[in-house]
Amino acid sequence: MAPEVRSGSIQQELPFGVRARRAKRGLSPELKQKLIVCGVLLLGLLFYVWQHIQVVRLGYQIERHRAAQASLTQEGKGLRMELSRLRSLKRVEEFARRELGMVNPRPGQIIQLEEP
Amino acid sequence: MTASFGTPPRARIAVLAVLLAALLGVVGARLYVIQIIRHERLGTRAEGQYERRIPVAAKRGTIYDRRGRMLVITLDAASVFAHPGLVQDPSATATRLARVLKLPVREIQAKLRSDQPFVWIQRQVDPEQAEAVSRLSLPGVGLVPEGKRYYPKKDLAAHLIGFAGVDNRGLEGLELAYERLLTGGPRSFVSRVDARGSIVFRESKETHPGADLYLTIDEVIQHVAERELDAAVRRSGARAGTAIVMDPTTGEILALANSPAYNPSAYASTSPAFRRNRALTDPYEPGSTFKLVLAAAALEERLVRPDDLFYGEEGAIEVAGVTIRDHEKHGWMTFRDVMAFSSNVGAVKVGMKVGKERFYSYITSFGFGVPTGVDLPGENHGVIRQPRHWSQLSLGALSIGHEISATALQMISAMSAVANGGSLIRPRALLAVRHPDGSVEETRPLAVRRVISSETARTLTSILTEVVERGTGQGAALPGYRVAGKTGTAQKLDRETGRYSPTKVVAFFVGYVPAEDPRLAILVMVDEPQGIAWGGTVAAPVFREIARETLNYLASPPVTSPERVAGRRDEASPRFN
Repeated sequence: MAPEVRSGSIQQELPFGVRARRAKRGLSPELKQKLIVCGVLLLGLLFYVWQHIQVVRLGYQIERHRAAQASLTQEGKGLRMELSRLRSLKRVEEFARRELGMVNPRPGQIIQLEEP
Repeated sequence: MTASFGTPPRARIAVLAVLLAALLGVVGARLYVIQIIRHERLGTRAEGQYERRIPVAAKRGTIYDRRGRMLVITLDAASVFAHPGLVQDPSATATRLARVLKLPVREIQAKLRSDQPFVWIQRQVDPEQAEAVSRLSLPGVGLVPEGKRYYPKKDLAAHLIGFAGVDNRGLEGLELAYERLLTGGPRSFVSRVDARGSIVFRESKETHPGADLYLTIDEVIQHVAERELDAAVRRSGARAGTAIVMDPTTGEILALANSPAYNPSAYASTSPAFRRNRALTDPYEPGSTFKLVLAAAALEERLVRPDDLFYGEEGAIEVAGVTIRDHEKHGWMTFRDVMAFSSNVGAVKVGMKVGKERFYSYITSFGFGVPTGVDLPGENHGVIRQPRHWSQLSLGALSIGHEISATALQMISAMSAVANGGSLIRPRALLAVRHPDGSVEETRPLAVRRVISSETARTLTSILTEVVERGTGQGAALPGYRVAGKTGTAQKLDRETGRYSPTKVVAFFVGYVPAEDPRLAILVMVDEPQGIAWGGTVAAPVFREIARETLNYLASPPVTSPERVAGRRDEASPRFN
């Protein structure tokens, strides 16, 4: 019984690094294997969670971009509609006559040119 | 120790296991019933309790002119809806909504107190109103995007294009005729209440949009036709007017104008009489323009030659006790003169030569009495009685374009048949369809039948050019071009007296240009012009102005060779973008 008490007191006095080295030396191959497997599994789990978060994050990004695209498409269509309205010949003609003083060409004032 | 319990442990464990298995079996069976057998029904019921499906107007296709200029488009506009069951304070909600939407509070309150699960408050509101409603964040009230039809050219070609209602369903014109192509797949949104009590929604599924239409009309030609027709109707104080411009070889309608016009965006506030496409819904007695059919029959049957002489009876002839008069007295005249000066006496004599059976056969062959088959809704077939129902007067009356009613579209189709060398072509307003997958399907000209030989068509063209060069149609003469055409002034039947009105007439001019290689067939009809009005004075000048600008626009120079015209035809071909 006495040597056990001594050894216990000796262990308590050993510095942490020494104890760790001894503990390391003491790990059985099976435990090491299990720890490695656990580590790999943990890493796999972390990777899974990480990529899942990425998928969700990218999903939100895609949704945002899709909404922006839809909004821009709508805006583009609205602008094309506005362009069409502004190009209305009735409006353009009225502007040309009233604001610019333009008139219809008289017969003979239009000369057709042949393409070279 | 074990004996004191009475039953061996293994047996007890077995009993417990059986009990547990039985319980699990019951739970499993129940799960099977709920999850597998009744899954769909229960799922739908559950969704129905926290989700609402909102059907909205489908994405409707865009309409362009033949050169790809936008005429009609659908844009998303917000519509305000409510789930009355989720509205906490209907009175306060109605008051706040009424202020923004400018609607009566009582009307909104009634909707909010409804026992319906879903109600529209107002559809297709302005962007500013939508923004204001969104800012209010009212529980149970939401906004959903819906397709709204916009007509950026306002009243341009309104009668041809027609309009779609608030549900984006075509109600008139091409919007109605091509409803199946224009309308997309059913579109709906699913709304649900989120954790904060607000309504959120998402589109239930992707739907295909409608197809885009390319029309045969050209915005520039349409604008010119409308402007000139409006001016003529205003000048003459007429009740209404119609102008049609058509490519006589393909039947493509390049312009179709009716005056007065209306704005399709405000169709609800426009009288149905204004919205009617008179060009094809209103039949008129065609008057002297119908001499065209008489002349075609007489020439084709070789009953008359252009230089055959007819006596004008000093301006009056009696048929079945009724005197038919000319507007000026004629003595001897050639058949060319009969047509050029639109002699009724001469026409009656030609009609007698043709005979009723033969004349009737040509009338129907030219397409009168049946719809032209144009791809527009509401076409009238006009009226022509069968010869067995004709009176003694009928042949004479028909020879001068009475006792028959025809639409403007039927008249221009008949004239186009002469212009293109003798084939009756079905008029059409649709040039091409662009499907959602990007494929383009083009329509093709359809020749209904040959009505006269090309030789007769040539002879008739030379006669019709004389109408414009020295006859009643001189108002249509266009320097630099040979114009063929026919005037007409038809008295209108007075519904009250049952007799022809001495004051109410319809003035016509229908013709084509250039006569030697026709590119345009144009009809102008002015209904009830005031004062002394003839087809040659009221309608012919409108033809001239439309023809002048359109030929300039199509770069068809005056006095040209057929080869050059053929080479330039491509310029009017459609552009798809």
